[in-house]
Amino acid sequence: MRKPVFYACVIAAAFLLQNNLFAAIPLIQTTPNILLVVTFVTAFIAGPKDGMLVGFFSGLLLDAFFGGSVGFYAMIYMAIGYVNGFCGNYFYRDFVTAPVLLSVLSDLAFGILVYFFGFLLRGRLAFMDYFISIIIPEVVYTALITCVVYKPLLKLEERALESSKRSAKRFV
Amino acid sequence: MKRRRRFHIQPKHLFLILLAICVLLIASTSYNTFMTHSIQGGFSTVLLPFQKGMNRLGGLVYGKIGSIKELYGVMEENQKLQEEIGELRRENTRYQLQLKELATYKELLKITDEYPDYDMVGAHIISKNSGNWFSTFKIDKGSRDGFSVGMNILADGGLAGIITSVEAHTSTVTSIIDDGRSVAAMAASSGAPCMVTGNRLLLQEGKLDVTHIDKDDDIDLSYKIVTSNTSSEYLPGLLIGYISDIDKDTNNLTKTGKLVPAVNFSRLDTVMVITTLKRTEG
Repeated sequence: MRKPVFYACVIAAAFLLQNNLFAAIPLIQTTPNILLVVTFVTAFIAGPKDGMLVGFFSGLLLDAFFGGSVGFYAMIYMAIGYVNGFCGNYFYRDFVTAPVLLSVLSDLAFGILVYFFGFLLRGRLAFMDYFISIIIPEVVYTALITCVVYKPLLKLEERALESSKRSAKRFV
Repeated sequence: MKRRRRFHIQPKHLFLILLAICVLLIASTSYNTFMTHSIQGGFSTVLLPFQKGMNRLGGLVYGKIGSIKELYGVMEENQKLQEEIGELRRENTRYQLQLKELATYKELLKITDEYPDYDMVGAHIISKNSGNWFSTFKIDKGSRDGFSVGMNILADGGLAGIITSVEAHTSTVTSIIDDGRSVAAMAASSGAPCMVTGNRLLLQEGKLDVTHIDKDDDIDLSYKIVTSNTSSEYLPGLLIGYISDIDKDTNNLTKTGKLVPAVNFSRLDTVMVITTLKRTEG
């Protein structure tokens, strides 16, 4: 399987899961940020470049669907993919602790960035209220989803990377 | 022979390039809406069939969870209900009379709640913005069905939102609970003007901000709030909700309050689109 196709499939699946399946279930008030999970897991495993590109296209998809100005989410997701890409060198990949920690940090960063650009600049100053009632629940849900999704996604991505490496070797 | 490593780019350079693209996109799309629409239209058309399938799946899952929960509840309640049945039988006759009365009232309500002047088309919601910050959603009809930007959306007999962009087969609706979106409104009984604004924090309590009420104006608790004639985007007389809190401001000139919307936004599924547009000129 070639890498771009694989990434495109993962992004599309995450998008549909996040915006259709979870958003359609009214029991869940806060939706987890699955696109963010995909972005930083990719960055964690495959490095900053892949993470950045996956983040960029995930964000672009969200922008294209719902955003007022295209590029807003793309920028935030891309930055998160970029930063997380460097963490892959420092942590063990086989344990779920580091990714969960990263997911918490990434989602916090995501929430704060969206608050800053989308709300603070419009004069909504009650940061603590937003923090407690919106950012924290989302962080918790996203961390939970990371626990569930990380291992399968890791396996999938490793297999995809391997096969794309193998096909690259064949041509050399 | 084909070479795989045609070019190699440093991560930080790629980062800067993508950042530049983002900034360019933001700048160009906030000035030029045509580009936004063409990008959005392309993505929507491709993903529409998948989304419909996923929605059905979501509904199915929710239905399953709901029915299991219901089963437990029902088993517990069964016992209690058995005991109550005897008592209820006696009351039944009395209630039946009241029910008939209620039906008459409902009939009356329906007449006042209808908006006979406007042409309406039904549409299904296919996707909701999952981000926990903004409140927009997609419906499954677009410009091919005669929809255009600025059409008002009703649900449960109340105002739900407005179409903010249209693609061939889908449209994006921004709901009135979206943070910062304002609707010019008035009290249905007294005609006193006010402004209803979405506020993400108040949404937790299921409420919206009501501002710009003159301190002497006749707006009070449980007043019915409808869209105003002076609104540039919304047709007049659409039900928004009912006042739940009201307080005098510290400047002693205006009042602000809160409003409970008529629409239950967490359970939106189908909406009515008013194809009559508000005319602001001519």
